[in-house]
Amino acid sequence: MAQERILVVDGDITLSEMLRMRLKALGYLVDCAHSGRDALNVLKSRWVDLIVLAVALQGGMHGFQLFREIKRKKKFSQIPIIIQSNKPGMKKLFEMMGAEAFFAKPHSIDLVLDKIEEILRKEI
Amino acid sequence: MKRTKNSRLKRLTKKLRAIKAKDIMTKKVVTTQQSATLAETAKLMTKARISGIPVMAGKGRIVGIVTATDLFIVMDIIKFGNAVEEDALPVSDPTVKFIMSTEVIKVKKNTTLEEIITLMKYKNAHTIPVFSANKMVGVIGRHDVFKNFYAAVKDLN
Repeated sequence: MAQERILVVDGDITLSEMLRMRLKALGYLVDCAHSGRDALNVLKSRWVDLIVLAVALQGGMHGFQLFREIKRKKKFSQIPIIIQSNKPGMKKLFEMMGAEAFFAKPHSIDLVLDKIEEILRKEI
Repeated sequence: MKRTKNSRLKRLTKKLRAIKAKDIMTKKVVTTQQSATLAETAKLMTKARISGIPVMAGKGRIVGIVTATDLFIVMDIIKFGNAVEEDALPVSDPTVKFIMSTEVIKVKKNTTLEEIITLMKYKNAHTIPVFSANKMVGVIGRHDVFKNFYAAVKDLN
């Protein structure tokens, strides 16, 4: 079976690196992007099975914009997206727009890992 | 030549460690409440010429931060509002609670400028409250950091 690839998009470099290490240890292929533009470049260059996205990103594009951009493009719209954000007020909005899950920071990375497993196993 | 460069770098590091949060913070802190509307909060921020504002609850307890970037995010959501069900979105009169960041990165009065730069860069923090004995005594914005970093660099010449 091919390894599944996860794209972590977060302006918080420390948190994305922690998540990258945990995901790699579980056998996933991981790409990290800290800006919306970098995330779109990854999506254009390779297939991604799941995205973990934050609202606060570096550069000009924020997570809500990137979320919309991904959902708008037919090629990417089916990729499941998990939101991890320090803006719990946006939970309802993201869930309504099709996010698979919303985790309010500070959160346990284990919860995110469990959710990723659940989503990817469901897809097989 | 290399020795000169190293010596300048060492002097800069020393300076960045000597500058503390209490030296660069804004002591007169403007704050808002969770229930305030973003329109009211934007007005406060514009008047005080700040790009981030702490959100308070109860007796001086900080519960969040709202930044200018957050206000732009809400603008985008409102512009996109006609494409989503209105009743699920507080778009007509959004409050601070909707967009504030609840994970607040704080520093102490004696935290160095070097550590503050690292926090802003790696934790993507824009506005950092300064605490002393559980009380907020100031706020540091990115502008304060840029201003003091480049002043320290200039001082090396």
